[in-house]
Parts: sequence; C-alpha cells; structure tokens
Amino acid sequence: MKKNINQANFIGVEKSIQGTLEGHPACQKIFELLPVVVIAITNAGYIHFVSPKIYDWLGYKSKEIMGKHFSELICLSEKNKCLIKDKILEGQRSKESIYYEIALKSLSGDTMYCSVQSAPLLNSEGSHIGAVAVFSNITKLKQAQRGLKEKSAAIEYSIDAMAIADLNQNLKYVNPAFLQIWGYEDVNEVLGRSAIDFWKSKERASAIVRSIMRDGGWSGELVAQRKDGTLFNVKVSTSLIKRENEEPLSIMASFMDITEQKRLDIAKSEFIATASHQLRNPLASINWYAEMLSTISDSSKNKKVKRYSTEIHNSTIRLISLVNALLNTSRIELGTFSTSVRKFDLTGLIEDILKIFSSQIKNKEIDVSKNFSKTPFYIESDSMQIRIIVQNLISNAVKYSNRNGSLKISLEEKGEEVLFKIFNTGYGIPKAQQSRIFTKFFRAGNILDKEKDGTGLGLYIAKSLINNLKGKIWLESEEDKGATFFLALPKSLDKEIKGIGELITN
Amino acid sequence: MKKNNKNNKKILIVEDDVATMQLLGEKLGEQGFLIIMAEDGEQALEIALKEKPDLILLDILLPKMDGMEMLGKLRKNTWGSNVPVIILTNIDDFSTINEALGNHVYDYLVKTDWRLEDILERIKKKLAIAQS
Repeated sequence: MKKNINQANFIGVEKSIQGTLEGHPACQKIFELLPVVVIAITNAGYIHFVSPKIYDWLGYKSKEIMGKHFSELICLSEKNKCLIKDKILEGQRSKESIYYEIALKSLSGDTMYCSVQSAPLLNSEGSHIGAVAVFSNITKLKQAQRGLKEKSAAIEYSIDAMAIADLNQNLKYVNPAFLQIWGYEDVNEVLGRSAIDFWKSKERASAIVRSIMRDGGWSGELVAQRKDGTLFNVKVSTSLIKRENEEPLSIMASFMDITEQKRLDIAKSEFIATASHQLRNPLASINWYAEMLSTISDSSKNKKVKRYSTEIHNSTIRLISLVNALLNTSRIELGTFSTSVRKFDLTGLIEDILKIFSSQIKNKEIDVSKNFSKTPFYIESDSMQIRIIVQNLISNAVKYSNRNGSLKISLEEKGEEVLFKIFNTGYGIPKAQQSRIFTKFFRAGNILDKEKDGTGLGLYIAKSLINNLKGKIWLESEEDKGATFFLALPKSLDKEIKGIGELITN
Repeated sequence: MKKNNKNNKKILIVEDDVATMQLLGEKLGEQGFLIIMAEDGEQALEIALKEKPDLILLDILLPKMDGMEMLGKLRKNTWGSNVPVIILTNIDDFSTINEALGNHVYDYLVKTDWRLEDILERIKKKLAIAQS
C-alpha cells in the first residue's frame, strides 16, 4: 500500500514540475538551455519525468521514455546494471544527494558517459518518493582520459628512454627504459635529481637546457653517463611543454641509445678503409706487371711474359675474391640469395677445396690429416653455400696456421646431423673475443698486427649461410695453441627455394 | 737480396704484399740498385738501422708494426733522422698523409696512382743517378 501512496505522491510532484514548466516559459527555456538532462524517477526506478534535451543526447523523445525503467538506458552488462540499480536505489533511500558516473546507451547504440548528481525526493511527511537526477555529459572528458591513458602507456612501454623535468631541471618522471639504459634499478634513485647529472659534460648539458628554455627545444647527440660511470652515446630530442597561455610548464625529452649504431659506423668506416686498401693492392700489382709486360725487351721475352702473366692472373684472383666477399655480404644483408637443395658428396667437396690451397699448404709445410667416417659422404643441402662455408674455414685454418703446423679435418654422423671439425695449430682466438668472431668486420686482436690481409667478412658470411642451412657453428680455441671450428649441418635439408639472387663462390 | 755493381745505392723495400714486393725488387734490381727487403715494420726498423740503406720505400699497412710507427721510431735515430723515405702505399687519408709529411718523407705515393717507371724516376732523382 505504501508504494501506491508514494506513486500517487510522485505523480503529484511530476505534475507540479510540468505545471511549472508550462506555467513559466522562462523555466522551460532554462531546461532547454541547461547543458544537462534532468530525470525524475520513482523509488522503484521508473522514469516519471525527463527534460526534453534527452532527445539530443540519446535520440529518445521524452514521452517515449516516460514509464520505462531507468536501467534500460544504461549501457552495461546485466550484472553491472543490477549493481548500478542497487546503488541508485540505495542513494535514493539516503537523505543526502549522491554523485556517480554512468554510461548511457543511445537509441542508435552509442555510448554516452554522464556524471550524475542525484537528490532524494521527499513528500510532505518526509518519506522518500523517488529522486531527481541531473545528468552532465562527460563523454569528451572520458575519451580524453582514455587517450591520455593510451599515451602514457606508450611512454611507459617505449623502448626509447623518456623523461620529464620541471623548469629547475629536476626530473619528475622517467620511464622504465630510462632506468634500464642508464643502469638504475629504482625510479627513486633518479626522481628529483637534476637532469644535468646524467651527462658526461655537465657544462654542455646546462647549455642545452638554456637553449631549450630559449628556443623551445633541442635535438642532437650527447655522451651520457650511466650509474656505474660508464659512458654511452645518445640521440636526444627535447621540447618545452607549455601551458595554454604559452607559459613554460616542463621539459620533455626522449633518448635513443646509439652506442651500437656508433660502433657499427666506426667498424664500417674502418672496413671501407681496409677494404679499399686491399682492393688496391692486387690492382697495383696487376697494373705494374702489365706495365712491365708491355716494356719487355725481345731477348728475355718468353720466360718473363709467362711469369708476369701468372702474377697478373694471381692478383686478379685475389681481387675477385675480395669483391665476391663484399658482394655476398651485401646479398646476405639484402636477403637476395637463393637456396637450392640437392644431393652431393661432402668429402669430394672438401678434397676439391683442399686442392685450391695446396700450394699454400706446401709453402707453409702444414701437415694435413683427414678423418672421414665414410667416403663418399652424401648429404642433401645447398652445395654452393656449403662450399663457401667450408672454403672459408679451410682458408682461415691455412692462413692462421703456423709454419710446420698441423691441420686436421674430420667428418662424422651425429644422428640427423653431419659434424664437420677443422683444427689448426697457430695463433688461436683470444677467449674474450670468441663471442664476437662471427660478427661483421670483426678481426681478432692478435691477428690484426700479424696478418693485414682479411676483411673480417669471411666468418660473418659463413655464419649467415649456416643459419640459412639450419646448421650450427661454434669453436674451441686457446690463444697461441690453435683453434677448432665445429660445423653441424642437417644431413637432409627440406627442399625449399628462397631469395632471388645467386651467391658467388670464390 | 739482389746485387748489381752498376751503382752502389742500397734501397730497403718494406712491403708485406708478396707480389708487389717481388715486382719492386725485380724492377729496382734491374736498374742496378742493391735491394734489401722487409715484410713487416719491426723487421724493417731492425734491418734499416743495421744496413743503413740510401733510401727506404715504405708501405703503411704492415704486420707487427705499421709504417707510420716504424717511421716515427726511425726518425728518432741519429742516422735514421735523415734517411730519405718514400711512402708507397694505398692509404690516402689526410691524417696519415699529414703525419707522414710531419716526419719529412721525400714522397708520398699512392700505389694505384703511379706507373712503375715514374716511381723509378723519382727514386733515381732523389739518389741523383743519371737517367739511363
């Protein structure tokens, strides 16, 4: 019965609001102009009044909504609707006005976020008959908040370091990448400190801050200092963040660690210098032998012609092999070499390659021993690529072998793989440098001052090809004792053709 | 080592590229020079100080000790400070050329830029031998 009384009372309230509106055009105007929607609901949650602006917001005419349950307008799962409904009804039972945020669903299915200020409606006896709620559209605010959340996640998870400093240059935010790059563990080790502290040259850093304040930003390269004092190269981009009134607010900066890039740049320049020198050596001999050939006197012709021509030929071979190494490297990097699998005899291939080095082996009086578990030893792979790999390993073994040294080659089956081992006595590779031996342009320190000939590309090419053929390469070496290289290759590689170019064997 | 009694000028060729070394040795030997050869910087310095050649043909990229270091050490020696040196190399960056000129070399020749005959002429000119 109580409900009926409330209902009756509510209808009275609604009538009085409507009456007010009709009676006072000014009031009606106010409802139209206010950027809010006013809804009156009963204790049970049924809508009994809604201001006309609801049509602009959700597409419903106010008359269509009257009598509907409030929860039909809420854009949420059934479970959440219940929670919201309980909250709203609970709010209505209290005597205080309550505030909450809610997502409404328009007739066309769009979501609209609203903040709601709801006040209980009491009858003359002081009992609840419902509530009047004022809805404000906060969709734009919500969207902006969401955008902000996405942007801060982007900053937080960026692989580039980012930081924000106040106008006194003290750090107030750094992302995890900043901590990682600078070698700190906890953000509290960094926050509040002067941004100047993180650079090798504090004077330069201060000058940069001044130019940011003056010009609104700065970008360039700087040498940074890690927590442990070590230095590294950083590409920096900064800008001054301003308030709407153009007053500076804070300094934002992003940093990219370019140490590796720098190292590669230097390695590349050194490589170009070395390679051009080495390309010119055979060129100079070809040139000079050809010059001598053209100026031989008749008396000594035959013997000299033969020897000078041989020298020209040998130098040409060296030149070709250098150019091939350069070309294969660029092909590996561009991914434009092809792999074609066929069956071939690995022992035959090794014997062929050993023949190429026979004169060098003889000159250095190297003792070569071979141990093949079977002959012929057939495998299915790309014979051209394996030729380059094996030729490279044999060439290195011969080149870095000591005079009267020994060179051992073995071939054995290990399950689905074939294991190729090559050992030579000689310089060996220092332990500290072994991990870098397959990187581009790398040449072991103990070789550099003994053997100028070499591009630092051979093992890089070999390693890239081995990866391509699903194989593995590793080494064991002790300095001044020698080195063993191990090469494991699948006995049978899946037939697949990729790439478009052709590799050049030397 | 090749000997010829036509003139008694002694030339040290410092060159690690075997083909180039043989070629230079043969060409200069034919002209009657006394030829001594070294394949790396250390050996070159040792031989130079012992044999006191009249001229040194010096490459730069060399095993063990490079040509610039060898030149620097040579110039610190009383005899070595005055021996004529011709750099014959493929290195042609400014800093190396400047360093070499700072150690007063007679000539700085880039291998691929020169004819053998012209190199020979410069050597003869420096050693004041009449053109044949």
